[in-house]
Amino acid sequence: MIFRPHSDGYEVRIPPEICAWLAEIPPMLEGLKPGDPAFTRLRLPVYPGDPQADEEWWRWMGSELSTERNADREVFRRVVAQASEGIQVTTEELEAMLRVLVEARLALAARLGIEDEEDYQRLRNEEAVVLQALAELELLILRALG
Amino acid sequence: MLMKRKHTYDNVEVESGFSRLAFLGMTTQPAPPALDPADTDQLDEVWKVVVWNDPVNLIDYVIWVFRKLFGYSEEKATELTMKIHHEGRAVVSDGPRERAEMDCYRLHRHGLWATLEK
Repeated sequence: MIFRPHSDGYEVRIPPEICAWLAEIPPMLEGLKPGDPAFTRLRLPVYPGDPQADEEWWRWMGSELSTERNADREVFRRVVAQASEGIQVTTEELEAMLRVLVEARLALAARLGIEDEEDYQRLRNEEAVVLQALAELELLILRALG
Repeated sequence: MLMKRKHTYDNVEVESGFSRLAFLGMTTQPAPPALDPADTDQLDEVWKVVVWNDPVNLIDYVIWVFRKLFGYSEEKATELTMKIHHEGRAVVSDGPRERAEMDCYRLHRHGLWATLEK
């Protein structure tokens, strides 16, 4: 797996089996609905003690946030579709990929009920492996971004 | 909320613009609309942007976000991140409400839980 600076941007190369797995992330995030802990985690209050101000903040900013998250997912989808053969991306595109990976880890962790660090101990092996793999990808991108 | 306050900021912009025109001798301009004292008080208020600890985001990632969004040095970004990690929260920026809300927005966009308080 490669994320490294290359001429004006970054070279990204990801094995096909991991690309296939990563391709499932955008639809998963796009399908989140109210009531799902993952949805709640991605819409945490900005004014915890003031529901009215919070509602107003989300009314003004929520749609913009949603638009930007969707744009990140489109970049992620496009890069992952070509990454098995190697693709050149810009800094903005690599940062978009990073944000989608973060969003995915937050969503999955929320669904698994992770509220503090001890909660990782009770995860089944396959759940822990998924979260760890996403974290490793994040770290690879962070190292590339410097 | 954001739109109303923006209007207030527009008034401030207008006022400083008229001041510049007066300096150039263009004194026939109408007076700028008076600021509501309550709005002036709001402009003076400092809001704090608080980031909360969570067990998912990586320390390296949080440091990167603070450097990217606020231009903090690695030392300051690390100090804030470790404060959040050990104490559960830290004030990462402050300022007028509109700017604090925008900081909060950018932090949420990066998956950090940020809240606002006076």
